[in-house]
Amino acid sequence: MKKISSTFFLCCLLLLTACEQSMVLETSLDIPQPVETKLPLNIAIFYEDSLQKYIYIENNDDRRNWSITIGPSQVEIFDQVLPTMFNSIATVKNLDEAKNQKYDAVIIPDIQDIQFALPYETKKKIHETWIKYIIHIQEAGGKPIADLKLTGYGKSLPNTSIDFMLDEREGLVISTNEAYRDLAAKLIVSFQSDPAINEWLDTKSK
Amino acid sequence: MLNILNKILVIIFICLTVVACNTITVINEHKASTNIELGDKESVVLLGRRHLSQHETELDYISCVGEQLSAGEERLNVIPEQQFIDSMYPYFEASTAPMDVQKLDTLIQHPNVSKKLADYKIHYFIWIEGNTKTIDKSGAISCVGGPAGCFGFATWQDEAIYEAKIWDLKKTSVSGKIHTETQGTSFLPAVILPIPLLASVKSDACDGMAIQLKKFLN
Repeated sequence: MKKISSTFFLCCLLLLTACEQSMVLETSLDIPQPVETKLPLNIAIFYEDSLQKYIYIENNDDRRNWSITIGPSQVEIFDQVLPTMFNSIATVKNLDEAKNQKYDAVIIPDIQDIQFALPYETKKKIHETWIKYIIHIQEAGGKPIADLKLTGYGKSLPNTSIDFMLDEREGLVISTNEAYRDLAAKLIVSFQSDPAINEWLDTKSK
Repeated sequence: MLNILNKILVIIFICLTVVACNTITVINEHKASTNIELGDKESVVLLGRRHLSQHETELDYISCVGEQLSAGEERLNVIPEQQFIDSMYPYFEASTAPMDVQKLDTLIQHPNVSKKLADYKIHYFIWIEGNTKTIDKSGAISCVGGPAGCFGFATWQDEAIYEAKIWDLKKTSVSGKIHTETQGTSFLPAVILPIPLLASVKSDACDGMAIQLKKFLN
């Protein structure tokens, strides 16, 4: 009797854990080496804890107990892209550290929202990802320079696989990678074209 | 009785084979007054417009036109789309690519961008916008398991509309436009086994565009 009850308990536990869809989106960050147009600036980057440990959580009928860890890949993308944009780049642990060093500016990425669309929700049967950011750019002393509002969009190719679970993860990884690529492209282009940044650069060079 | 039915089915099949798979392509060309001067060692790059997610130009259509341009008589030096986009990152992504020649002119002011374009020996940009979609469908086929198989008839009409804009990088001006419209109807009769009679709409649109682009650039 004891054996039966412990087996039953184990089965229940297995069923409960099976319902949890915890995913870590291991993005491969397929971002090509940008055409080099480096700005002559020494930049500090500050990753807030909220960004580094960002977990996307959703729980409804369609997405039961979704928990997607994407914080580390976001840090990785900035670490990869920013050195191609500036003369030097350093990560600071807090804003005071940036103040004490002679940086031209500090970049603080702030994730605003992330959304996913699954194949049955999209007309084209694809996975889609939107990542919305505000990139705060300020002088080392704290004076704001600009806030870049950027949305990275990515999608997977049309779903033809019958392996649903495998597909969901793979489709989301592909669409999220594409969203990061788009976000990085917009970041580089915006930094070169944003009027407030250009005005600050002009003032700085005088 | 069975013999007559067989004969009718064969006649229907022959008729459908003749009618189906036919496509009609209409091509319009507008050429600017400037001359086309593509040197032997110069290249063209063929790019699809993908800034609107519901109306993206298909990757396979661009590669099809590219392959046709770089093959046969009067072949052109065509830079593969993805290779070009990756090497020019981030300036030719779907969301950042120049939408007109003025924006291209601004972009080539970056010394490293213009150097890369010069390395590729690009003279012309060909931007293709459009896609292939099903515009009408009717009929139905029902299939059951076992020896009974499928029975029914389905038909659908596909339409491929594409427009190529040719930009002259050296003159930073529009050299011309080519517009192609292709339509075709596919049939799927099913008597025990479904027999697809497909109209090659996208493929014909690709052929039409490639032939016209070759004429335009040569």
